Amino acid sequence: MGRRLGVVLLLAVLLAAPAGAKPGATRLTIFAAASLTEAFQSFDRNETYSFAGSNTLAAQIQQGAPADVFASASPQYTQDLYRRKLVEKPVTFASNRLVLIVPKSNPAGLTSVYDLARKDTKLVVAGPAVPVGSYTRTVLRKLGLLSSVLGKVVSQESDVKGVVGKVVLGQADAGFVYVTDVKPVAGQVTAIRIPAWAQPRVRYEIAVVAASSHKSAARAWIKRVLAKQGQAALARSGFGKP
Amino acid sequence: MNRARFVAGGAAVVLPAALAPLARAGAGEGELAYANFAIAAEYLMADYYARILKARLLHGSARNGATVARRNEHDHVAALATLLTDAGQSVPAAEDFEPTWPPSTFRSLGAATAAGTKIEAAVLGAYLDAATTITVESYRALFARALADHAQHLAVLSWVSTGKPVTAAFPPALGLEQATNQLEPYLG
Repeated sequence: MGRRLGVVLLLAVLLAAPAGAKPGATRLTIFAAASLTEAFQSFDRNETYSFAGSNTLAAQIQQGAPADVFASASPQYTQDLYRRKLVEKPVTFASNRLVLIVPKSNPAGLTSVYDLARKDTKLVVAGPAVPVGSYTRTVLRKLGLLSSVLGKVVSQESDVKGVVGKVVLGQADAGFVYVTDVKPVAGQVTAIRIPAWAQPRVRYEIAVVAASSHKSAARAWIKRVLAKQGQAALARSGFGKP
Repeated sequence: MNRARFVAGGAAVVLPAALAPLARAGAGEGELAYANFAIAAEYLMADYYARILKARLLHGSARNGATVARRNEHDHVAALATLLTDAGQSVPAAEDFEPTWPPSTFRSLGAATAAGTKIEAAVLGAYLDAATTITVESYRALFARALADHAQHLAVLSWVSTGKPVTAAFPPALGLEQATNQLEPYLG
């Protein structure tokens, strides 16, 4: 019932034509991971975007939500939809890294990711089904901090922007986000590096949604993302090469 | 195979197949953290020796020593990968790391050996810490044997840069955080 209502609401939002649309031009509906918000909007303002956790978007596509393109922060969701024949063959288009962010005031006095285990900290992470939440757990496991730090989690968010918001508002002492999420809030947070050896392999995949009625335009859009202009926009936002 | 026979097998080459039965002993967070750190450190050092060889800064016995050291790093990676795989963990690939060497690192023998010595010392320190704090025998044995190899690598670098292959007694053990801080500028 809740899911159906969600799809209906989503349909309503997507059907409302945004201002500035070119008359006659195909306006694609792009479902994209929340971490792609700034990068995709700076790359192309003329499409209709729905940004959220990749797991949520994948579930909406399974339920028939009208998307043309799906860009996921983890191959897990694109590959799953591909196996179900709900998207065309996905391609990798970007990579990312994780950082720990703290509010500028840094109330817990954190200077290293290891401080999470040593100090009394209120930590915010994304839920385990959200790519960044899964990557966060991988980082903590690799560092040997999972058991000592997970008990300090005060909130589990449905996407990475939720984690950023909680830290910016000072509702948490620290949160794990992508490095690309720092730039838009650089004045409000400080990023603490995570060792390269503890980084998960973060790969973004993109695919045309099988039920799209604008497949040619969707394929062309993905081609642009993979081309020089798209890759430059992603690099400006801090994304790595595929 | 008991521990004495395992250790008596020598430190030069660690065959993954020989370690597999030992690796099944349950590894905890601490063991896996050391293994994850180590695999990145070994990839870094393999890259280091490949570059110093390519730069033709070493000759004769020193060049042979660096060639064997590079081979050692690949053997260490294979052994660590077996431990991680047996523990159900994903194994990073060399491509997951992009070593960042300061531009002048391989332009002179002095700069190259200084960088190599710094990293080898950090790796040796971390492995010493692992060998003395880890409780799972397969992991402890691997780190003990690998640190013997790294002590030899350090001796080669010390010999090349100072003419003295033997350095001060009792090198310090380094916790993972300290060792990480030493390696991070190079790990990208």
